[in-house]
Amino acid sequence: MKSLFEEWSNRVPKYDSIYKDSLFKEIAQYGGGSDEGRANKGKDFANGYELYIYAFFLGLYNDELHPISKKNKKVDFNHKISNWGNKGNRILRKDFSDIQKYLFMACVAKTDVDFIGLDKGKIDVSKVALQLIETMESYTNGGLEMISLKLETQRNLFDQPTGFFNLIYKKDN
Amino acid sequence: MGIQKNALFQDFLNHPMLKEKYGLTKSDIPDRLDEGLASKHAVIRGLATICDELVDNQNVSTKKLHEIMAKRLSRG
Amino acid sequence: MIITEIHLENYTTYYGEKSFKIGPRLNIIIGENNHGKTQLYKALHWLVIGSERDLIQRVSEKKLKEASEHVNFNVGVKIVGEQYGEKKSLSRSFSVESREDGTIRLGKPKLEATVKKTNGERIQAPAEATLEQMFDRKMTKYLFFEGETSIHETFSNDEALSNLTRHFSGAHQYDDFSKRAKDLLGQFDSVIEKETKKNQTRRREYQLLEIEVNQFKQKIELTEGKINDKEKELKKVSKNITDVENQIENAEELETSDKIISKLKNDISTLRASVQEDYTSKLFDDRWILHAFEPILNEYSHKITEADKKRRKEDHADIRRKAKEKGIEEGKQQGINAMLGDILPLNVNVPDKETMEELIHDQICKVCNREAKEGTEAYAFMKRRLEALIKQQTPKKQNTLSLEEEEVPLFQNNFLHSLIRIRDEYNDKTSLLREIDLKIIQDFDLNKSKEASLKTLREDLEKAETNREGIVGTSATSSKRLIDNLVNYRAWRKDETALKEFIFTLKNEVDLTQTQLDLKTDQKQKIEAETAISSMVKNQQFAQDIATILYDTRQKKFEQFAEKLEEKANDYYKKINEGGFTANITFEVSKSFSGEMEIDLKLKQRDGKEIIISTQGKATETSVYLSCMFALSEMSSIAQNESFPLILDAPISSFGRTKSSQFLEVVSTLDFQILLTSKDFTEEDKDKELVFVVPEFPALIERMRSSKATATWVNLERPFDDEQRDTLNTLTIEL
Repeated sequence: MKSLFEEWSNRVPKYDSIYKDSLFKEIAQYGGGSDEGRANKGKDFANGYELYIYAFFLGLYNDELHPISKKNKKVDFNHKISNWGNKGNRILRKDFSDIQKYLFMACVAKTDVDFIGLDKGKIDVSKVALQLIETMESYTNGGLEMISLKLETQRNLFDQPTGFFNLIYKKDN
Repeated sequence: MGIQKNALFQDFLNHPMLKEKYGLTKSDIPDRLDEGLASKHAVIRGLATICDELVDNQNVSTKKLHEIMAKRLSRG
Repeated sequence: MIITEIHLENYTTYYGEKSFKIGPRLNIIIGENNHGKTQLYKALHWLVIGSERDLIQRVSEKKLKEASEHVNFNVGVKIVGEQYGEKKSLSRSFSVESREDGTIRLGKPKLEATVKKTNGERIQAPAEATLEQMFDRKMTKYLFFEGETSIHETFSNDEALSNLTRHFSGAHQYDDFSKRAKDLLGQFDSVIEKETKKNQTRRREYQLLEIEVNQFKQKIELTEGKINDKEKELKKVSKNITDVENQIENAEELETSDKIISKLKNDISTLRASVQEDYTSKLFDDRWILHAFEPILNEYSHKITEADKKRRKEDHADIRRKAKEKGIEEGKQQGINAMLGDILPLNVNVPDKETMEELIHDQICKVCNREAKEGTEAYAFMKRRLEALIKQQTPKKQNTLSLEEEEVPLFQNNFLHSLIRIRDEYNDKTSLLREIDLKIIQDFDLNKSKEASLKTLREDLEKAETNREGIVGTSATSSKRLIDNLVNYRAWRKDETALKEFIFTLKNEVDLTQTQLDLKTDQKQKIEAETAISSMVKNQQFAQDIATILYDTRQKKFEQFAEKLEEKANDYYKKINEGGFTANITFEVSKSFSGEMEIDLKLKQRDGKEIIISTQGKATETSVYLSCMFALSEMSSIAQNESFPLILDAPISSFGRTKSSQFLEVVSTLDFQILLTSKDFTEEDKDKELVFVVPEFPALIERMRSSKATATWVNLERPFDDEQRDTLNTLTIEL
């Protein structure tokens, strides 16, 4: 039987489609390629999930839990959480797959889960996993909103190598 | 114009040989060229002749010069 | 001879008639490059040398363009000067005729001179003779200098200096006298020889001696000639060696400098590469993104712990209830539950199996540090815990339907278990989370210090490159020649040794031959004494002495002159370099083997150590040579009662403005005429398209006012196009 973590990490979280072009295509490099290629193309994140993780933590630390509106279309980049952070073919980068656990812990911490019900078998584990995913998507959404706003108003901040770092490190930007 | 006869003559007279070999003293050394030509010391007469003959007239032949010099030196 | 006026007519950029008023001492011509300064110099040079080549180049294009058919005009240069109380004018000109068919015909240049005598009468004068009077043609080479480099080229050549000294000192006249005295002596000798030969008795012997003496004399003369040549060669080779040795120093310096530069560039490039500014990636790779995660971890931890407690509570309660239902008395309840009663037991796998076994083995509870000796209740409790743990880990058998197993457990799943494990695993790693902030600071600090190091390295690189330029700049040759010369060096060293040896051999030969000659001469003279008329012999003696006196005096005069020259040159040199380090200019007098007086220019420190002039930088070199030039000029005017103006085009271009000003002030006080050009006192404003005189210059002129210095500014009339020579017209402005 799978653990809750395994159940959760087997999924692909989604994001609001409005951010697909403005953020994911803009600042994340799709379809692989080297880090050098990424730098050359001016992309800040090596792939979609990096941006996703970043947005999640941004939303998490700033308490921006904004569920995606039911009206809006959701998209994803077809990359299971369980693969996030694997070293794989990436040269000059490190493995950070343990970040999955941190993501997980955050989701659990911020979601109202009936553990007793779960262990008693009253609630299906996949349902709980979905709850966690929804938390994840909501914080991410909040984070993406923040990034979007920043890009609009203070784009030049991201020209520095410290741009994204500063945004998440110093909450009051 | 060139160098003056007298100045040249005086330059020659400064040579130590006149003192050392010929034992000439200050009184023996003339101040002017014409005095030198009439000096009782042959070597002084000789030096004076050179100055007299060569300064203005460089074209005098060696033979002629020798003649003049021989006469001057011998005149005692 | 002093120049008082210069007039140019349609000469190159001087369209129409242009005049210069010239003072008796320093005359400065200032202007931007290509505005006419050098053309003025060339005009004067042409006047004196009178070349007929390339006449068309000397014609003002602007005038040429203007001239329509049948219009003639003149191109010419004229100077007015004063000499021996008379006013003399000298001009060289040619006519230009523009013909119908569009061709241009140039007339033959003619030289003309007029003299205004003291009584006011002006007459035609023989042109060539007047030219010779006004400018000693033999000396033109040493009066006209185009550019700083030509000064260097002339004065760094020792022969030139020796020639100059001989000429200016009047020592050449002593050369003549000495030679004549020698000839005279020869005459006295031949008279005696003739006389001696008249005597029959020892004629044969005498004739033989005569032959031998002549042979020896010839041999000596020949050998001395050889020695002279070889010594000249040796001097050249030694000079080359010395030059290269200085350059070797430079070449080694250059090599070192290049190594330093290369290393610095490498270091910079390595350091730059090591500066990791991929901060966005570090958020993930170095977990920087987790810097604020601890509260979240605590939240998780707390939640799971609460859930775990709740579960254990319910579980415990459930087990007791079920036990009650079965009728088992509380006291007999098995397992841990029995001992604890209502107290919520810990999870069965805490502590783990190994820890439990250790506690039991050591008979001590290591959590509260109390004994749990065998036989005590505490010990039994621990043992039962271990049993329960093992039981839980043992897989249950299938298909056994005992009463207990028929029961449905309260908790079918244990998702919490792995959640707890995650909690424990990551709680242990809390310290890592806490370190993140510190690591971030360290990382930024490291990068900052790397940036600082880069900055320093870049500054060092700039310094090193400037230094390298300096090394190449002070060496007289380009850096490629430096390396080339190193190749020749070995060959030259070999040559030097060989030459020295050869000269030594030759000198020995001369000595030997001289001894033989002396012997034979003695014998000859003995016979002469016996046979010739005694008065003849006496006269010959005198002639000998006179020849010696003349020869020695000649040397002495040269030495005296050189001494005086040295003194004056140093005076000038110190004045020019006031405030700066000055070494001493020395003129070393030597006699070549053939009796030629020679002078060697050297620069020496106070302790006598020689400083190679060409290594001291252009400005110093020029100062030294100019000092010599001035000294010579001064002394020649004393010795010959005549002086000639020095005409120098850009002689101090390497000095820079401040040093030039200093120099000019000193030169203005010197008592001879100089014309010099300089580009340092005007500046061009490219945007406004105008040239202006720098403000320091009028102040400088004012200071030199009392010494009758003059200054003229030559400036091309605007608008002009320097591609179109027919737009050029130099204006002269007196300052």
